[in-house]
Amino acid sequence: MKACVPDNVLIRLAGNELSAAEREAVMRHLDECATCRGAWEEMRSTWDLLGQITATPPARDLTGPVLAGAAAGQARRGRWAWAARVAAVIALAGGLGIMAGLLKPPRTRWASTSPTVSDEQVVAALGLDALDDADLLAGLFETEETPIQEQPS
Amino acid sequence: MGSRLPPPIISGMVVPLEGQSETPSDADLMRRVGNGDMNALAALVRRHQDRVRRTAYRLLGNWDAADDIAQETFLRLYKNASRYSPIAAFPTWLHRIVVNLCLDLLKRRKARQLGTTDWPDEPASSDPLVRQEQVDAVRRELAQLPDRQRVAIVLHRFEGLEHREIASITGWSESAVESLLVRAYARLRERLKLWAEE
Repeated sequence: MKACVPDNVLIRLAGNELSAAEREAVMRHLDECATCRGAWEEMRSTWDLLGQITATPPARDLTGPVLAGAAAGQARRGRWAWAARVAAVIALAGGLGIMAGLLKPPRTRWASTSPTVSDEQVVAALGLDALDDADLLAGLFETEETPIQEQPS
Repeated sequence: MGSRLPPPIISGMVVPLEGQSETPSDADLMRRVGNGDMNALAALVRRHQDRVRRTAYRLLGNWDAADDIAQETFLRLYKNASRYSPIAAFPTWLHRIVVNLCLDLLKRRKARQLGTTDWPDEPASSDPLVRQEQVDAVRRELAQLPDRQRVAIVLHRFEGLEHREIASITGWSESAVESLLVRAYARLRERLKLWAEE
């Protein structure tokens, strides 16, 4: 048979969460209702069984490790804060540089400042066109065929 | 006048600041921790470490893991001290950190297919009438509860917290806490029936 006092009320009764008036009303009902009394006894047995689990912490003081960890964290944060400041300064300088570049009057970038020179002008300047001059070529051969004048002894 | 120096630790006691009562409250200590006072942090650790370790142990079933969690809890507390608002009761705030860290660890353990709790070597009650076997059975059943149900039971049964406080710590609704507790107690009642009848 189902108990008329719901489980959640019995749990609150065990945990001492009911007001004095609520507690009194439930206890009065338990006196009169065997089913609910049975449910309450089961609840109490479970409650008591759980109470047998002890948890005595082994002797250990965490103060030292916690303080050491906190100090290490503080130092780490300090280093990061310093690095962040340096990064911020670099970023600011870079930003200012970019801004300065953007504000300057536009000019042709990467263009050569020297006048344009054609291939012909380069060939002429080097004298390479002379190779095509037949007379000059002939002159060169003539030079080779010129008899060698004997020097008077 | 320049900045005030932190009070010295004398024989493990934190000397209260001028105008403060002999035993500084948790909120006072937290304010001092927020200003970087390591002595205040030490005082908070000494005051709450056993409770924190016990809660973590009951959720994890292992003292080494519980100590790691407790240490991490106080480091989180230190890191977030400047954001602490005395509106929330200090133990609630502390419990919230412990429970979240434990739930994260349990989740990671589960993801790695490891057992969730160990419950290895805690001796039975000193009461000679209480049999070791019975205590082991209770521990085993508690360890086998789903994580959220175990959190609810540990906070309700062992920490003596009310539904409202458990809801505040876990961030679950009060009706969710109630539902978790009903299911957890029903399961334990069923599984421990044999022992309860003796």
